[in-house]
Amino acid sequence: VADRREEIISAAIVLFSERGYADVGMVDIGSACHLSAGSLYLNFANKAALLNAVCTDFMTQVDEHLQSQLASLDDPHIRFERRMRAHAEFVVGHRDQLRVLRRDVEHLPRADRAQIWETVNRLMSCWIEDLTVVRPELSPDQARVAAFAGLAVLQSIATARPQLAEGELVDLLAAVAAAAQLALPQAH
Amino acid sequence: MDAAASPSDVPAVRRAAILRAAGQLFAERGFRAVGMAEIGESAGMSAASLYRFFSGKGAILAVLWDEALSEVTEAAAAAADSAASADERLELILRAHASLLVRKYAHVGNLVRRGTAGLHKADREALSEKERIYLRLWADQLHELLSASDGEIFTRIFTGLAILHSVAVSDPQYQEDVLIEELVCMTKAGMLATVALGGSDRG
Repeated sequence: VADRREEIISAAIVLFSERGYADVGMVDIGSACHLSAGSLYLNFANKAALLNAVCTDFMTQVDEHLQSQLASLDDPHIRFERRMRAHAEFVVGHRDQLRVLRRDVEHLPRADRAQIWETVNRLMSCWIEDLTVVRPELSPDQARVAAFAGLAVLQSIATARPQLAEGELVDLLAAVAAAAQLALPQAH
Repeated sequence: MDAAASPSDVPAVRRAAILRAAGQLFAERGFRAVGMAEIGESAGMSAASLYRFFSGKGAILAVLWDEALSEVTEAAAAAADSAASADERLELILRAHASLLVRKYAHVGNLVRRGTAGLHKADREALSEKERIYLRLWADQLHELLSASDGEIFTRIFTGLAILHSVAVSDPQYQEDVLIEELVCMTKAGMLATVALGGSDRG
């Protein structure tokens, strides 16, 4: 049953990402994974539930990936650099999901969206905590501005379709995100 | 001023009122959640008269975007004209963009950030062509400053745009002038970051 759920979510990611959530029907998703509408609805009550699974899975996975990559690192400076790389690796490997999350999240019911934002905020407060150790001179407001600029860099591949190999893309995104945050001048 | 407008100006005034109301509503509640009736109500007219100006909310979004893009292209080109080096030109272009984004087009910036899903195909194509022309101005400076492939230059440009437009999410409550300078500084440093591509995993 878990495999079937994954199979349906994978098909949905491809279709939502290519055509946009609004232009994809449950029938399309069913036929993409050779399932009748009946068995599809056994797994997901409706299209919004499927979209929520795509978005929530993405957030859970990025969170888990970061935790596993950063758990053994005690030095905040090293953790900051490693966070940029690990996050970049993850988004480059999951571009289609990210595109769906960024573009179609508005289609979700308010409660589902709030839950996703909760994960984003938790993730960002760890990010900001590390940045604050690396750049203690920044005000809390500035640290937040810098961290969200860094996140935006990593997520920029959701809309752009860069003609670079994946490894190059990871290197570039991680370097740009780190440089932007380290450049922010201290407030006067 | 509006009261003194001659009768021939009235359609232009109403059109501007529609654009203003729609921009505000889209930014507050998202493009999808806002209907033509609401836009009309907020602009003080019926949905029927609204349709005399715009075929739908997608058309309104296209005009909002088009106006912002025209203005930023003009401002950035004028700024770049006054500078002697590519480095200085890049900085002035970024400042022109950041300044319009923060002071005037925060609501449109927010819509752009969410992507082009609300636009009609023809509008989308016309606007991305226009955007390509604008971004050539960025690309020219980056090509002078970095030795990199077109693919890399454009990836760097998209990260730069992302940094500028990230203020829609972080939404800081401090002085506009300070924020603009901070955005310019982060964007320039980020786009020009030194990196040996593919060096780390394939040693």
